[in-house]
Amino acid sequence: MKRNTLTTAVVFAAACGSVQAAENINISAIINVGYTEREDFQGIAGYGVDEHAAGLKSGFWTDHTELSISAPIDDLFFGKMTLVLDEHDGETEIELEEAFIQTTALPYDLSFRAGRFLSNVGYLNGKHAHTDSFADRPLLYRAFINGHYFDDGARLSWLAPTDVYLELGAELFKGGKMPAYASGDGIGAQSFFVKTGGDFNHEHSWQLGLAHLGFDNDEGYCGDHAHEEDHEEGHEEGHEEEHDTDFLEDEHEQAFGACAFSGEKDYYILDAVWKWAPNGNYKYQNFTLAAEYFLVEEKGELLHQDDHHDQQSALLEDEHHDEVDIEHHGYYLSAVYQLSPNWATGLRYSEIDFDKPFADGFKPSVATAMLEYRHSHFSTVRLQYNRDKSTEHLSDDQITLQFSMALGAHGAHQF
Amino acid sequence: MVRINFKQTLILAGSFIAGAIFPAKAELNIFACEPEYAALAAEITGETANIFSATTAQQDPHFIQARPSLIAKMRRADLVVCAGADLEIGWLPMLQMKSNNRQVQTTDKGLFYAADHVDNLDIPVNVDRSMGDVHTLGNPHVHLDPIRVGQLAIALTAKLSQLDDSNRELYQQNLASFEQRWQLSTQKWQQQAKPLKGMKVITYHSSFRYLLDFLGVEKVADLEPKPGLPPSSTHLLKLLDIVNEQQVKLVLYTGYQDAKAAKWLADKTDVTRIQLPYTVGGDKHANDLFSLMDRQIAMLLSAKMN
Repeated sequence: MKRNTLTTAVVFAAACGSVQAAENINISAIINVGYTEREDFQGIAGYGVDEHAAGLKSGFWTDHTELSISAPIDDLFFGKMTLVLDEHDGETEIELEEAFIQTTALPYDLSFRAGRFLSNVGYLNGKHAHTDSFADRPLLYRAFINGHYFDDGARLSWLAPTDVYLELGAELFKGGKMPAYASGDGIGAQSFFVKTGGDFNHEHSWQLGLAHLGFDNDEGYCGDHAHEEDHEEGHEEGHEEEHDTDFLEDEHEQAFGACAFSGEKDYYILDAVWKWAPNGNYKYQNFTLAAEYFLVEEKGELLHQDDHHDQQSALLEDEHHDEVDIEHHGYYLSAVYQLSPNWATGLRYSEIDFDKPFADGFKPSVATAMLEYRHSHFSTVRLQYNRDKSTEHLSDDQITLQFSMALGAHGAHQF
Repeated sequence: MVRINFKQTLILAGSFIAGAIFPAKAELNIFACEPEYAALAAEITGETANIFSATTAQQDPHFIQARPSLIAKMRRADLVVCAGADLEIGWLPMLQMKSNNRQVQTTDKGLFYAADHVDNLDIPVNVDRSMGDVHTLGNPHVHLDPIRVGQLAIALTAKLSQLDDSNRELYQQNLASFEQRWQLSTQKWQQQAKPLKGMKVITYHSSFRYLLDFLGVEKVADLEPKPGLPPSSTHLLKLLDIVNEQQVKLVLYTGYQDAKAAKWLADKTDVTRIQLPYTVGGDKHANDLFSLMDRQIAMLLSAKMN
């Protein structure tokens, strides 16, 4: 970890050093800090999730503070690199969230991207968390894709020569990141997406998306980067273990067993967005309604241990593979209204219907309300309330005060 | 009973689908970020081009969504004409990236920034965000100065000729016609504007910077405390003093700016508030670049008389 930090710092210093020379390089930092009052995270139903799915941490936090550099490389390539700093149990983790190149001058309405990037499936996934209207990602995203799915891979997308916006794209990924638990040797995840959209008139606009995200999971490759390193190189041990709290380890090896699952996971994602602004003038008032629906199919084998609570011994004594063929459904619906350039408010509801054995009739849900004040286009102070019913025996009232501020280059936002 | 000819229907449907998928591509497709550049492009191309304006006069060009419809339009563009100087920085780069259109990525090809071709006012020596949303390349609202519009017409004609050599002569003819009419009008506007010289006004934002510069009207303050920040009550209270001390006549704002602060100031003081059309389509009289300028000057003159 230390070595990583150092290397990254050096790379960054070098990159920043040449800034004066290249005027068109964009450097931006997002500072995201806050305070959250909540109960400890106890999982989402019985589904196997790790700490990344927990949402906001209790107490003061600095979460997902990011540093991003982007610029045209030449007349054919554009490049972007984003580092994310996360605090976990007193240690600062530096994560390379994006490092990709993208073509800007391919013929036939094509574009190609390679490197590490956010998958373009769904509505929120391709967007940076700091552009969200809420302090945390919806329960749906946290449960199934750890808030967001990014990985090493390549994407080819094509814009159809139609009057209506119609984009088709396909992505291939290594599959080394949650929710892909592939060995990472080949292609462990692939996606296909279709996006379309248009204007109803000068003040109403819409977008629809349909995507398939498929993962090939290999038994034993459950963690994210840390586990991979453990397997492949056998050093930097203890990294993952330090972070995991006891209950999370239990979760891992309980019913879900991300480590224990081998087979295929298929995510079918439907997203719809509608935006409105009086006269199409978004500066003063505007309204955004967004919804996404996930259908998650898991087919394969689950390494099963008879005694969950005494894993070590049970592991040795009695283990066998169970056939798994299950499907989960989930959605979120969010509505955000900007009342004035300074004020916006929003509501969101997310619910998941897990298949057995992860939940037996219980549907975890989170209802959210937020009010935000923006002093300028670059600074947001947000107050958020979550009524979190992630597990059957918990109904947690969570309050968050968040400060999300942008320094440096003013990047253009997606629809 | 209606008899449907199956064959005809099939041909009709086929051509409809073909038309949707492969639209005819004989004309130059021009994507203008703002209506003023759509109007300027129309002057030079005459009837020959397909011109689309991404925004209307009622939309603040700083805050446009990178909408799917705009991505689709930009994909087909042969030329993108925008104000530049970072006015569209919140949305144009996203459209360029998503349009997969290699023609409109750089200014040596089908991208034209007006602010690249004229001298921009108010280029800051030193910028940081505590000054508000200041454009490092200067004020981008260059289309409201007739002198600069004349220069832009020449530059845009050169760009159009570069992209579409077959129509070079037509563009030159249209430019010559435009220049002649525009020069006459400019002289007329200079005459008309004489009574406005030295008049003191307050504006919402620096949107009318070039117009006021051309007319010799003096702007003493903005309703915005800093560029991009909405009017605050403390700032408005300061403006009360400024209005009284400096005998400010008018407070000006555009159709895409909130009228509340201007109304408040007009209620509290003797200033007259006017919503001035910011660009073509700003009101029912401003139908092209000529009538826009006619309308602006007429409104200012009549407000001054009252």
